[in-house]
Amino acid sequence: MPSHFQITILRQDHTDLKPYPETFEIPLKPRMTVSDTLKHIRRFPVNINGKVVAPVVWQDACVNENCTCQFLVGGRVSSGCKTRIEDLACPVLLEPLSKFKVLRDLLVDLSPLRQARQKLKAWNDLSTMFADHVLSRQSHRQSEDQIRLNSCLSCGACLEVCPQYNQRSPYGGVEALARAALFQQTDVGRLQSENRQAILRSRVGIEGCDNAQNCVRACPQGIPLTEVLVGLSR
Amino acid sequence: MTTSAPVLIYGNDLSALMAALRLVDLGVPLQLILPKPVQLCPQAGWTDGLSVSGPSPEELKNHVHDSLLKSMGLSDPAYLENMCAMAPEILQYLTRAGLPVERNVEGAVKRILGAEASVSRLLQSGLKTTQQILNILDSQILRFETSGHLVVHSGWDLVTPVISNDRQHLKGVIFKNHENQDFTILPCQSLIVSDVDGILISRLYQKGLALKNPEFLRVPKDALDHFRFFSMNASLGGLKTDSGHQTDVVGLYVSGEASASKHGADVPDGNRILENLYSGIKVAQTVHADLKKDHPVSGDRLLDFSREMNLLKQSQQQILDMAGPENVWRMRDELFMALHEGCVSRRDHESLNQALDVIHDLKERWPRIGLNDHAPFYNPEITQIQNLYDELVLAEVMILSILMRTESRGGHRRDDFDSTDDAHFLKHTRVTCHERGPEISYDDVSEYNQKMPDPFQTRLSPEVA
Repeated sequence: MPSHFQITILRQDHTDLKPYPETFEIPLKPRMTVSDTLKHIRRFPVNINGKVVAPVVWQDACVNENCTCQFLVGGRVSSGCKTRIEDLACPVLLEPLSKFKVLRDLLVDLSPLRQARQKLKAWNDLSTMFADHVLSRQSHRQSEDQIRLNSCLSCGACLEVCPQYNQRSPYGGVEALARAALFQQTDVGRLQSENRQAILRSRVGIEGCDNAQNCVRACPQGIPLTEVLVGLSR
Repeated sequence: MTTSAPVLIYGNDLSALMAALRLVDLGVPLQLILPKPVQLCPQAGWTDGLSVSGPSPEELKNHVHDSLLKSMGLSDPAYLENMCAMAPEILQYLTRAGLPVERNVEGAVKRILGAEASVSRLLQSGLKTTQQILNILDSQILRFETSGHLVVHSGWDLVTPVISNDRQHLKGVIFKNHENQDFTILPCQSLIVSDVDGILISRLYQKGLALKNPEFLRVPKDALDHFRFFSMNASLGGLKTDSGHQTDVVGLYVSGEASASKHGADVPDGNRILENLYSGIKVAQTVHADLKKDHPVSGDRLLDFSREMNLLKQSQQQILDMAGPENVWRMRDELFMALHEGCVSRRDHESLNQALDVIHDLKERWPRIGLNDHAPFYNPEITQIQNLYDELVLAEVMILSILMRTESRGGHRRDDFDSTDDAHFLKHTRVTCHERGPEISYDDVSEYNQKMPDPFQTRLSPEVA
């Protein structure tokens, strides 16, 4: 293993300013990830020309294997905390996700995901907080399916790889569809599923999908997104 | 005087979300301030399940009994009793809202046996039950935000509450916006703080609120490089509040991880999530009741804000001017290492004093930090420099409290004092902040706890600690 590697990061100081590349030379340690690299740069914020720079900014909140840091590494959507430098071709190219507004450096604005969930009404309507209710029976398999759907972290990877998802199209993306699908499957949500039928079948919903199946490969949580899409289109 | 000013809730964790949802349920107007999206709450990394006792009265008594036993005399018994009793209703709410729970062979919720539990009551939703619950609660927040029942602000950090001169009432809150680093003042009369950082605990302590049992704060095992430091996952120590989550400042409430756990010395499996959820409901109910009472209103509201704002701008400028040789992220590494070596891998007089020496050294070097990031947008380094200062204050208080509690009890252990000493330490630690340094004293536990219940006795008295 070489002692150092080079990484070029596409930086951007502000949404309205132009992006620019900046290269760093970093000591390579075994099992070092892309996120480890960013953490190193904070501690030693000197670029390859010896200039002291502002440390690179990213969404630094991954905890215990829950990954929320998605980037384009060598042009491919990758998880920052799970991608090892030793598995990459060097020099490494690190860019923010391309389908979302860049706030700064690698930090992007993921609020469109929340807005899509609003459009699809990804929740159960309840009367009050405490009410009479008999817990319905569900099979273990059903609960497992729902647990998977509910493990989404809104990281944006599925939307980044989707050829149908972009700023110009009304398609809300599979993330919101998966969320809506979860509630459709719950006992309360099933009763309310008519409220969502129209929007789910529209171009905002399932009609926007063209079956590329990139999403399921990109999801860091392993959510069976294509099964969701098939289920909703029945 | 009744006020139409909304209640403010700060936090993106279980307790803040439950408090917001309960207040909406009670018809109270509120604004929820999320420092970050709910999906990024550190509680999402927990692997604990949720304890909910089964339908028979015996199972409930058993749950309460196990909770009291684990607390080793430092609990609030009535609080725990009410919490365990409400667990089934909380579960019903969550499942109606869409929470999937693992099922057994006949399709009912599956209860498994937690460590040291005598009865199966632990429910799970996969490995990360807390993350599942957070997502479901977030869906309800989104629902009410869409319908206009609550207002949500995202990306604001709570910098400081503004408290009246006599330290009696809350007058307002100052937030900092991540995007442009601007300060926003919101005058308010009711603020619920629920936060998994050690930062706010430290700041509120420095503002005069008492800490309870800080020796029971937990230092995380791995050096996490996040904004938060203590990563108060299941922390047992924190800010001192009464059973209703009120602090000594009228209008200021603290719930969730930031408040000292009502479990006292330790928490059984499945009760961490439960306490967080219950504390949100409890604080909401307290605020709802308090809003109906008259509050004296002081007249010099605006004057106080400008004083606070000037102080904040000065300290912000101080950080912007920092040009020393030290790096804030590397200094945090040193703090982490020292706490890990002093309080986690070893925890005795010598190791604790070594950690204390490092903390004093870091405090002395703090002014010599150099700011590398001067951008006025999305600047985590400026925030981190201020946070490090607050972390150092809290770390020092924690170590001093650990040094003084020369016994082992639940979550607090001493390698050099490995037995429990009820004669001296069946007490709650109280720490207050003064010019000359932290002042540590001890409060008696409740009469119920003083009688040290027979482990085989399950009958409970309704006294409050």
